[in-house]
Amino acid sequence: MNELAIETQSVHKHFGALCAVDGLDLRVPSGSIYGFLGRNGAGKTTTIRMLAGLARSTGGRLRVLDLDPRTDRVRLLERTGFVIDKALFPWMTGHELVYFNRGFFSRWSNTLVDKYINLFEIPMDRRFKKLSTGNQTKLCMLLALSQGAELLVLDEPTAGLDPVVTDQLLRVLVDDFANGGRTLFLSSHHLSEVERVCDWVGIIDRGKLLLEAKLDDVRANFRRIRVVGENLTLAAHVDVLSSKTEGNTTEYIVKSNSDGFAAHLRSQGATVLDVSPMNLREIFLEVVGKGEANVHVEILA
Amino acid sequence: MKLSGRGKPMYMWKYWRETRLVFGISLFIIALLFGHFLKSNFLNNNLASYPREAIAHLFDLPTFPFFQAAPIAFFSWIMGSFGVGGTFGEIGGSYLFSRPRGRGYFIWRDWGFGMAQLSLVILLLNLVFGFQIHHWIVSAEDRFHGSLVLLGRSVTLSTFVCLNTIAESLFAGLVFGLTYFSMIIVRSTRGIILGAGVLLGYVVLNIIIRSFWPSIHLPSLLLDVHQQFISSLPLATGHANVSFAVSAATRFVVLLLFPIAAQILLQQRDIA
Repeated sequence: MNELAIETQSVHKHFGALCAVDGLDLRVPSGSIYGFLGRNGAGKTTTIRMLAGLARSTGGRLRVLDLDPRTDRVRLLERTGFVIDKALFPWMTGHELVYFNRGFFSRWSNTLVDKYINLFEIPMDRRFKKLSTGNQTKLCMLLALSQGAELLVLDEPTAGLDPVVTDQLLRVLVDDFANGGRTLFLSSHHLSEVERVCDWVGIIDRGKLLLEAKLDDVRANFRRIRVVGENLTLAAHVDVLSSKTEGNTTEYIVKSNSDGFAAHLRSQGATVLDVSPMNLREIFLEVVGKGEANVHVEILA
Repeated sequence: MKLSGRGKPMYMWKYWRETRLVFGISLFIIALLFGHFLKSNFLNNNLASYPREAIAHLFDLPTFPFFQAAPIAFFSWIMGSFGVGGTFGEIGGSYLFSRPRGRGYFIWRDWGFGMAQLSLVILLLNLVFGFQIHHWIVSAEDRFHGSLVLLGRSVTLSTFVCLNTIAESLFAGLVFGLTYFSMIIVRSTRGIILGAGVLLGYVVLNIIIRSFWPSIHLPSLLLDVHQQFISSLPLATGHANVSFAVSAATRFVVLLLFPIAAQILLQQRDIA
């Protein structure tokens, strides 16, 4: 079995002059819960469409479950559940959607359908278009979870959902799906949710992967360091993501080796005021907010 | 884990669900027509005293399919708006095309099931008219000796019905395929307008060309089966009519080009 559920190498996608995905190198370990983060228009959905074989890459190599989405699309889709648009046939009821969907999948489970109908409390006799946004999303998830997939790829699964439904959905995805050793890949810009459930994160911006790492490593290594000092040199420390000076106080964001960096500053006579950990939201804003020129892909794990 | 069998025709069930209203209305209209003929023939019995000369001119039989062309075109046009093209207009293609089937799977099931429905409606329509023509023949005290006389040749009623069904099915397939293909090109409900526009454009172009360049003949949208079949029917041998078969086969090949082109187009394109 391949150790990577998803692997892309130098993937590009152009829409005319627009470069939506620009040399993407993604490595999603099998069995992981991978949060694919980015702002609106960063290239998340385009990447997912390429993984599903719905869009062709302009260049590069993609593998999903060791299959090429361009040539092995049917076999790939048999083993992978994709929830992209959350738009199903509006005139079908929940039961009809189950009936329609199950014929496509050899590993379809009616037991799981019954389980999630009860758990999610979806009114299955109602037409899809008459369901609330939350129930529409839950129905999409029900269909994806019941197909017996080894890998679930979800595009913004919690968008537009209230906190209760979001919590319920995330619990099911983690407890029922991912804990069985299967891989969950979800794109989002709801960072608190990703931080809660994911063990790997990838941050994409303007089509480029800016960071890919285990979430624990990100948490352990990214630090905000505030110092007071003048004429400090940083030449030997490439792990500094950014710096910001206000008055005589400078704030550094470092990606790793914060202790070594603090010691380096002290050796130049600086006073280190504090070295504080950062949450995912802060890290995301630092990584994305500074522009691609200052940030490079970093594999921390 | 409880497994269900695979390969069940769920997609055709969906197509049936989409088209059944239009299909049902078509059958209902045919049933009404049949009922009208029954009532007219057996309750009112108004043809018993129908003048023989009038029966002979009641229908200009060789142009019979042309009278049915308009309703068949409309029905085929509506039917062409369902399936993959309709799905694009309704919900986009992400859901459908992330099911584990090749894109051709959806195209050919749409096309095959749609053509089957169209052909059935056309067959039933012609059987109803065949029934009525049979009644006229009987009412005319076998003036036609059990046969129809078309373009100076004697043709059985079953041949007449069969020829009409073939011609109209080919015509319906043309309208259906063009509309279906247009829906996939445009990927929205506007495709149905494009399909109608192309058909009307062809008709107008044909009229213009006939007016200005009478020697040039564009192929008719509806195969003139009676002219093709009967006028060259060998009187003595009764051998199969080659030119008719070639014309019908050529048109059938043209029909197949639409789903083939739709499949190629869909396989080349990104699904939004």
